[in-house]
Amino acid sequence: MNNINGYNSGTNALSGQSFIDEFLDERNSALPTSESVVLALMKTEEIEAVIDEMIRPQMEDNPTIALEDRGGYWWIKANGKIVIDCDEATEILGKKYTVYDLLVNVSTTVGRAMTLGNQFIITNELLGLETKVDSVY
Amino acid sequence: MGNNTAVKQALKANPVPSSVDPQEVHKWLQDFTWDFKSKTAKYPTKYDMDVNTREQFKLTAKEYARMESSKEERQYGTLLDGLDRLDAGNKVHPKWGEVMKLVANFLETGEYGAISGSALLWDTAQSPEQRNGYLAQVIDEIRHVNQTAYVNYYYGKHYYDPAGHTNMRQLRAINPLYPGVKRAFGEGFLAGDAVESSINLQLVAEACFTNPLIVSLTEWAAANGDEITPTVFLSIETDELRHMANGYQTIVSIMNNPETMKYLQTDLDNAFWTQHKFLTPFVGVALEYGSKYKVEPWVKSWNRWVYEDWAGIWLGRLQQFGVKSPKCLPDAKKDAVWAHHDLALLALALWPLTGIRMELPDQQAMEWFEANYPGWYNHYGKIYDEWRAAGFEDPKSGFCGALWLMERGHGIFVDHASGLPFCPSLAKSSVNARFAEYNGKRYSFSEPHGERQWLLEPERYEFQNFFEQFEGWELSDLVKAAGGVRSDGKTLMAQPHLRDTDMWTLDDLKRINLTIPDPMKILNWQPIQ
Amino acid sequence: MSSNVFIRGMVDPERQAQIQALVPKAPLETKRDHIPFAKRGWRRLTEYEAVMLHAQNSLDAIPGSQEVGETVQKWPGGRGSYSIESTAAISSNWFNFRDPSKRWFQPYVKQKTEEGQTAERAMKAWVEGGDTGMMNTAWLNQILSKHYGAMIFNEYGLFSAHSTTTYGALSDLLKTWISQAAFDKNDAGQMIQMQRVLLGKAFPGFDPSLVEAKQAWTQGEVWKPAREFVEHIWADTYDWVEQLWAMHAVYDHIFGQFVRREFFQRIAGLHGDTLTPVIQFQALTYHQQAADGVSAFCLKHLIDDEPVYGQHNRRYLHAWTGKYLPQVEKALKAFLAIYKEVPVKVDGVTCRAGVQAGVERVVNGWADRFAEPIGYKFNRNAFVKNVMAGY
Repeated sequence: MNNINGYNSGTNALSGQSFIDEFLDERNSALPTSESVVLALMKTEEIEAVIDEMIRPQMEDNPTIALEDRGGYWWIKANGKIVIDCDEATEILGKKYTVYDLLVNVSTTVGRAMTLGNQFIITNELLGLETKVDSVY
Repeated sequence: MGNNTAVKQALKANPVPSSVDPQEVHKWLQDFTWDFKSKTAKYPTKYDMDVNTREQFKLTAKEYARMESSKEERQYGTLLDGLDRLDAGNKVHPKWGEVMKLVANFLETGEYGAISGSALLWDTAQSPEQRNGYLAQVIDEIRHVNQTAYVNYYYGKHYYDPAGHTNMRQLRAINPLYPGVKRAFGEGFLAGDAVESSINLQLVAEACFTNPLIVSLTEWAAANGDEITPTVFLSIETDELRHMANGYQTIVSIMNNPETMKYLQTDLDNAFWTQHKFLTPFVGVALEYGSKYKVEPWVKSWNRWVYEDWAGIWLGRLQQFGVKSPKCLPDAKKDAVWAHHDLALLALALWPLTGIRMELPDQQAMEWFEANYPGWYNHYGKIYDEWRAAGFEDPKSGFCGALWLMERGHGIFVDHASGLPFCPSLAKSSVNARFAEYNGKRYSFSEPHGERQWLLEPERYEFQNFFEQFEGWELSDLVKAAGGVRSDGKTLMAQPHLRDTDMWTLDDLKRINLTIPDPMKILNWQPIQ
Repeated sequence: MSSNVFIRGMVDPERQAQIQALVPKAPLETKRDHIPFAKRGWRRLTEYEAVMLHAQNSLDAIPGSQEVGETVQKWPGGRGSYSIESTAAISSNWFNFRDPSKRWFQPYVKQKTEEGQTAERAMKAWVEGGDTGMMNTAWLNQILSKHYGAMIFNEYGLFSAHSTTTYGALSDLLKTWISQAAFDKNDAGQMIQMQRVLLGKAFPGFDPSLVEAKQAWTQGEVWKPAREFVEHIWADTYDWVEQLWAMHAVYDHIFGQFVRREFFQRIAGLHGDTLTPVIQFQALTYHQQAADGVSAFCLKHLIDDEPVYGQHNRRYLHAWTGKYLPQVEKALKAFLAIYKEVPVKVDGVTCRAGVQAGVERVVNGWADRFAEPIGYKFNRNAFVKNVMAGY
């Protein structure tokens, strides 16, 4: 798998002294700019369904999505944004599942996260600076 | 995907008129406030915060409670039913079970500081949505204090060595690492300009360092047999994303005024350094020295979570609005490689004061360290081998790493900016020791970034450090006074090994014959050149 | 799909065998009680106290603190956080406070969730069961639209005033209780708006916006002295114990109780409004809990159980009561003008005697609960008479 967002891609693909040399290299000592977002989802019954039926199918269309099993949670990284529609999750799970039910198991985000109606969105956009904080009402 | 669109459309066309969605209430929050003559923050900020700032998660109090209640049911259900039946407390590798005594309690300190830090922001922010978000954060932080405490509480009930889990709130008083937590996590979150606190708490500590501290730490926990910590910590972190959003919106709320924006870079640089200075070495020690089974080198986790993702996705994207790379970043990266090894050396040298059982790296660990941090053995490993041979573990040996260091001229000082101990002559991290005299008192600093904060505002860092507090105390007396003795009245809670035999007692500690010195007085202290 | 296979130590046979080899036959320590060093206070430590008490990593200058030493970062200028100068009240041990409702996070959110579900079901039943048809239109458009909405600002202002009381509170169990009281205030305001949004759905002509309500709150005479009190407590009062006492033990126990219980609870039903009492019942519960907390804090902790400074604290509570009671009297007096706008008049309820009986109930309740214990004397008849002048 040659995904730029892969768990051990880039500098982290190296090890030992070559990793340290690259990590401390002057090129890597200033602020990087990333187009990605990161999401960590706690492993639970509902999250497994979200991963299998909502995240994995998106990977076919979006090759920048990386998914990694980290023991207690799923680590997801992608360019741009990740949207989880909880109306759809409700259908899949066969029970009411609001965006706030999803948030029970969203362990972390890197990027700007928000709720929009019954959708959870994690985006690389700078909400409030580049774009507005949307509301469905 | 999307095959239920018809259902959704039908629902939207005929909304049930007998219920109210929480977001329908949230949209009115901005109208809840009014203007009046004396309306101002009691803790005003030097920044100009926009009253129109929004909140990204749009929670009402009731919906918040419903969501959180669900988290609590799942978390305590797992702990009290599932993990209880599995005897989870005794499935943990003891190295890890011990280090969690410190990790859970030190994180508790941060969560407690964050209660007040969020209350400060709730006072300062004038946007009702922001206030609503900050109030939720205050309550969240109470949850997190309860949760981190519950990890100690649960371990105290179920793990085979409850000592230290039950009373770390007392033992920490003599732990030389603890003032480091207080600086970064305690007061760094709440004593100062509200926006400065927000940058420390939310933009740096939460958005950056909680990811390795709370999320990736759970991988190490699970690898080492601990399913208690992931159950709690991953649930803690589900609140952090709202806090990160609070912090981010605080930055958004000040970005439109170039007059006050000029403070941002300095506050960001200071906050990053302050938080890094404690968290980078501490988390590294906990993961790599508190585990038997390794997951990945700490420096790689740091590269992923701190440098590539946090710096890249948060700060990097803000560069277009004038945010620059923190000047201390190259030094922080050097620390990511070495600072935890420096701190581990001191923690092992000072083991009787930590309140936990720890052991020197074994052969397997030493090989792992050398493979991932080439040069580690020649610098640290050799010392550990020498300590082992000198009777580090043996209660009859009278050996103490701290004395060994001092006898060889390796002074241990307290960095007055971070509150952490450092050893200038043995450090491989970015240590560049500085000494200064001010108002007749001597101060030591491990590097210029912290020293600069002190030089600008010395009155903000007036406190007695560990050596000043306890100078003249005999070691065993100090440990006893802090509650560090088991219920037999003599065996220490802290131990330099993990066995149930050959455990050190107060008498063994007395044999070391160590009276706490103040190194600023005895080690040929020289003024800065 | 995953590129690694994660090994969990608990279920991996090899790792678990290595771990079990290190676990001794008998525990290394038999004492398992949590925070064994903590003083019991006035009763045995509960689970709520075990998880919260002495979490505060403060400075040893706060009486009762476990800490040795002081804060290591201070405010510009050198002032430390958690300073005892933040209030005129003095305690020999700030960590001896115990919240009578024993709510740590878990029971707190559970209770609120249940209340949320109760409200949700009540609203659904109210709309679908036909109760809406009974609603008096004038009550809806005059009182609920304007004055009930104005109450949101009262709750929001009091919620806002809690930020610095949370910050200033000197121990962990105090901060827990105070921030929960704050959250309840925030909730109380939002629940009124939730009800108003529902009214907007049930009655096409009802506007849930807050324009008219804000006007009543900021410019109307009915709310003027109440607003002045809220503004003063929020922005001008710096002593956090004074704030708590003034808000919960004086203002809300007289003015708040009257508005919620004697006015909205009692009068709504006369107008076919069966929903407002359901929603306000929660706010009354929240006040009850806040009153219990402030009573445990100010009367029990700071006076009855305080071995040294009880008299000192009593003097301050006395002085603060004297400072705020006249404003509360004015607030209630001004509020009584609302009866002129009440559409349905019922003898014995909305008449002078009926209203006066309500005022007396509230004032007597307050005097027994908060004035008597601190020896605060005031002329009840004169107070009631002055208030009734606003009718």
